[in-house]
Amino acid sequence: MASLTPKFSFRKPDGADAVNVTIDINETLDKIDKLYGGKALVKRTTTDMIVPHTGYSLGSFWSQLPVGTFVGRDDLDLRVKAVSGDWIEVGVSGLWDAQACDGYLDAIVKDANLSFGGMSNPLGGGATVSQGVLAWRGEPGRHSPIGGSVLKQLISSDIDGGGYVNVILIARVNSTSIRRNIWSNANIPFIWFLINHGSNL
Amino acid sequence: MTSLKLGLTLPDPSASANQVVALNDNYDIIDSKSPSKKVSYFWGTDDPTLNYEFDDPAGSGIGYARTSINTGGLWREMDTATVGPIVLVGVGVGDWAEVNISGLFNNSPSSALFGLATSYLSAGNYLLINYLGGPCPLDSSSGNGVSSVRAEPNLYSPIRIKLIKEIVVGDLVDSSGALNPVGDRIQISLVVKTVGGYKFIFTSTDIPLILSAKNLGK
Repeated sequence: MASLTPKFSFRKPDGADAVNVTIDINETLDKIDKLYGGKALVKRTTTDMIVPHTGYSLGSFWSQLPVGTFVGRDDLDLRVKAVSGDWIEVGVSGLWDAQACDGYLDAIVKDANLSFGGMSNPLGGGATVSQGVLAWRGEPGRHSPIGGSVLKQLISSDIDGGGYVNVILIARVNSTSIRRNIWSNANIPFIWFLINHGSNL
Repeated sequence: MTSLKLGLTLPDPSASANQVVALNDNYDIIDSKSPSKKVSYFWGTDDPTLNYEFDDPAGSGIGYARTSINTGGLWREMDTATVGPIVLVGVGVGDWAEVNISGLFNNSPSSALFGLATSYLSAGNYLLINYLGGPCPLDSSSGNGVSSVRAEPNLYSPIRIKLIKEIVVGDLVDSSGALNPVGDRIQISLVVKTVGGYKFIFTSTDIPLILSAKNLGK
């Protein structure tokens, strides 16, 4: 993340010519970054999230969660300081409600629109047969726990102009008639977090 | 945060060429501050009476015990006075702790939920302080614990937990396990709630319950 190469000049005790000393501090800074990389966490405890069924003939397009205007759309946006080469980890703890359709979740880097689940352009209307991060899939007709995390090494296009990586949650269902909910209340919170591990995972 | 003091010794005061000084001493300082980690593998005998028992052959001091997990619909601490909660040493306010659990409920006809909370020792009992997931208040039926764990009736149900928590002063305990705002550790307790009878968590050699905790630093 940070990079620094300080240079000092020393004069010998006898007052002879100065000697230039270069301090290679970058490995040290990298270790610090690894220990103290940024973290972000949201615990959502109000208003179940609805994954809509509208989109195309085989189900819905990918939508950013939470959908709609009843809550702040940005409340699940996660951001931490990062540079190209850093490894970030995105994790979740949640529960799909039991509606009778498949539910899929994924995380994407907002600026690059690239998915942790392996697809490309997930918010562009394409790739709608993909199932996102498979560990976060909801079985139809059954309460389905959502847990675990995924990793990604960042490239330069993942970083915004302010030096942050921004990660958002996206979802879709495989039905054209049934929407699906993800619980978000005080007893069944939806927890969503992002960790920057630095360049040395 | 890490504090660096750069003390430089010119490698060769008589040299006339440019020199590079490596900060090995400072690397050592950082290494000594590396976040603490702890991993426990719990296994014992798959008990047909639907208790669990576990042992810690790695010698982390956890010991051996068994506890019923027919909780009658109330949240109960899984551990006993013999088996304390997992302890993560070297933690301060503002650090982030990470907890990972991998395990498996069996397919008993009852349902079960799993909770995690920091805890402290009082009058011989561990009392919960702050939840890592959803609420799981001891001796109460309210709350659903960690959302990513829900053991359905008649189904084998994975326990898959990865959670992080920023440590606050109220999480800290001292070496005696008592709440202490200047303590250097946290205790993470496992609690469970069964509804409809017994539920069984596998703790066999082939199907272990694995719990790890790590300090991610600030």
